[in-house]
Amino acid sequence: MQRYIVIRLLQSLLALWVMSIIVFGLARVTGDPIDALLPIEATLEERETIRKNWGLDKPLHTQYLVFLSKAVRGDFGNSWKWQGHTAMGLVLERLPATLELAGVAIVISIVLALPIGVLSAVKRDTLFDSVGKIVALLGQSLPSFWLGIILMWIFAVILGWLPTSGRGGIARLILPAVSLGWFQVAVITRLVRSAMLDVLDSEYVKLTRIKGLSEWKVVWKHCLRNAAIVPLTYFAINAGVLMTGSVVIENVFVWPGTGRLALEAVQARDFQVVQAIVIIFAAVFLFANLIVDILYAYLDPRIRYQ
Amino acid sequence: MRQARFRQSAGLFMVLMVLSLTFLGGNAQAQPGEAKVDRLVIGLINPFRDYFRAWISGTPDHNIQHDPILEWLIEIDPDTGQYVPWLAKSWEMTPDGRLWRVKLQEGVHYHQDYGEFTARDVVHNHALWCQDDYPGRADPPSSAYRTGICTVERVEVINDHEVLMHCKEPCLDFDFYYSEAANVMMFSKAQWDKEGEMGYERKPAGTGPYEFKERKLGQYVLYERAPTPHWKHGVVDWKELMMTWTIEESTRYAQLLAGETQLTELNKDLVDQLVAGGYKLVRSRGTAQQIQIIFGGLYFGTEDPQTERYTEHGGITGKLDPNNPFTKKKVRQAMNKAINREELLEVLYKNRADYMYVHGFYPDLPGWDPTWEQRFPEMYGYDPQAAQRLLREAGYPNGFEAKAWLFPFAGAPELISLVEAVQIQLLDVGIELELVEADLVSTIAPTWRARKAHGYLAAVPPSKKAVEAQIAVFNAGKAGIHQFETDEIYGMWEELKQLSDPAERDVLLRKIGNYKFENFEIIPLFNVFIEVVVDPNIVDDWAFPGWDGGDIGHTWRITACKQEQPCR
Repeated sequence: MQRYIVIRLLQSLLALWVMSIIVFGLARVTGDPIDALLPIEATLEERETIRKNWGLDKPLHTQYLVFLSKAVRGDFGNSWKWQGHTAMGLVLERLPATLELAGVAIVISIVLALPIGVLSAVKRDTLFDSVGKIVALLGQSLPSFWLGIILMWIFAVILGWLPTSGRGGIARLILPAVSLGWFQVAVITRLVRSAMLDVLDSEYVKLTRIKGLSEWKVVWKHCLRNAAIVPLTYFAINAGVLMTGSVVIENVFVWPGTGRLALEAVQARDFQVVQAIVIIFAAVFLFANLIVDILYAYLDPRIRYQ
Repeated sequence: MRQARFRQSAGLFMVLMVLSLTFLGGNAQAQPGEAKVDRLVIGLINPFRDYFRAWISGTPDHNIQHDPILEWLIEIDPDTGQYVPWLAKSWEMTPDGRLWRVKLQEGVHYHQDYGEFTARDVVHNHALWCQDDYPGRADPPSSAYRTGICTVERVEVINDHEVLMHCKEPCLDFDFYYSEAANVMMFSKAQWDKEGEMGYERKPAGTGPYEFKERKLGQYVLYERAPTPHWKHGVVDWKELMMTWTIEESTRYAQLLAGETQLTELNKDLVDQLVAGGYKLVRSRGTAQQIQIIFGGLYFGTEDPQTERYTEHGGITGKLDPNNPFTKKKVRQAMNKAINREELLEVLYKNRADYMYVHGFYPDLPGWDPTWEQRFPEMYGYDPQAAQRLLREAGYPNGFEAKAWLFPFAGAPELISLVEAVQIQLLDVGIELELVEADLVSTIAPTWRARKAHGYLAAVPPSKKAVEAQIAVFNAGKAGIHQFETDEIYGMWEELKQLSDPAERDVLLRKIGNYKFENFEIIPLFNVFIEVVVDPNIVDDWAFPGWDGGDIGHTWRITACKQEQPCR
């Protein structure tokens, strides 16, 4: 098991290194940051001054080595757009907001998706099941930004129950969290429903019924416990998905998290911040996958020996 | 210090108050507490730069965060567009154009007890921009306007309220570079000495009618009314002023409708919708941008291979491609005459713009020629038959194929629709435009810089600047756009820089303008204004000139609606 974990860890580090090359390269392929930071009227002399000040006049491989040597120490340099702030400092400052939003979105998705998924399976081919399927279909087909705008329009503009945007207090959290979590509700509902259908047909469930257990216990204790393995695995990956998915929602709701920071940094071609965000997002993804891999290996010894 | 004096003499205080209120007269703002809300929230798009130290990769645009708290030497009057006194009481040039005597306002105090604004603050701010090794400044200065700002090479202090600004060469545009249209706002030297550079980021002390209160990076900046009446504007209407940053237009729209903001920036269609629903449109008093289409490939100058600068010393032929139809004057005139400006103005700009004639020239700036307006219909006016005739004469009886770049430009949302409309209009005279989607930063700007934009049209919205600055940037190779370069323009521009007599300069600028006008340098379209929409129950008006740093400013001129009915 230890060897398996070490191998997976090394693979994750390799992936992170490759990711660093990709993000470093892509950030530069998409254009010269000087063009984004200075107006088109800037003189050639001024462009060259800035280029020199920021070390952009050095060869790309030198720039990359400087970047890598600092990045391993958690230093991604200073932000160009937000002068006076380090890239990592900005990301860490915004991370709690993203985690808060993603956390609440996960809670919403679990609270809604589990009962809907279970009941859809239990009441298969009934009106409730149809409604559950429609909810899942809509959740997966409605773009989250569109849903966010519609929710904002209804609950903030027309009804005036909730604020449109910003962070601070539960009221400001509801709309972005629902918009972000809605897709997950759909996915998890479908996963739970299909897993529950498999379990409900299994022999041991029949046995529990024969033994006279109440239907409530059969479904919510024995069936759900076994069916939950699939969605639980999904949750681990979901953490990363929610963080990156927040780019859109954070912008719609002016939520001051890493997603919004990412968009602004990309628009300003603030390489330092973009690199810090992508590397951290990648690290979260890889970490989540590593945990899942280890869990799989723990639960299924065959994986370890392959 | 002043408060201590007041405490010592209550009588003197009363007399001063009465005198100052009398002096302020009609210009005085409303008394505090009369606005319907204490905090005015302005929903803006996104700060181009989210820091206060304007000399770091500074752009002349987007000084909005500085506006409520900091002040410049020279103001631009929103109503007349003229330079008027601000922290500088007067400024006077010597006949050789190389020296400006600037007298400063007395009795202007910085917030946070940083003392009186004096000549040492002017020296300090000039040094921040122009002195390469200025002690205590970590980040070197760089800005599109630095060359112009640092034409002033030395500031000599005569006394606390008078300085001499020595220029390397005639600097007739001193007033532009030290006005609010550029970047040199007056930070406090005393704050720098006490807190260092980052003090300006933590809590900048200014002399404006609002004080800095707090800032959440990327979210908002909050200001509060200064505790004492402002030396020039009296008491502003709002206890607090907040600028929020929201990229999504639909969210800004919702914020306004939900009453979370009272003033915001939106596209013209949404503005019209809101106005129909009772909201109020407020626009800049003057022009903010000139919408125009530039011809790619008009590199008529000659290039010195050693300096890579055009014209100065002659040299090899530049990168002119004679096969590019745009290089023929008759083609450029034909394309101008194929454009139905009236239709574009009505459909795209809702008739809320003016016609422009020559890029970089404005009626309120030197070099303006009033005959352009009369000559325009004959030379540029819509006439498809004349356009086809001109194309035949230029050797293109069946028209030709060309390309046009399509790209979004922040602050000019109509540009893409404009190019699409121009494509249809040009097709009527046989010019087939292929629209090419491209990124301004990664594709178009490098192509311009390399002088390789042959056969490409591009719609651009340059902001208002001093006339010489416009010529330097767009016609004299000082920037990377290379809009229209000829030896004649280079020659006239070099001559212009040596002139110290404003009258002579005016004549030469007019000559350059006429040269540009008669050579159909561009397809001139519209002078546009900055538009914002306000909740008329809360906000009455906002007078701003439109070229406060190429953007919006004069936030102290946002007045409250103090009547029960919405202000119209």
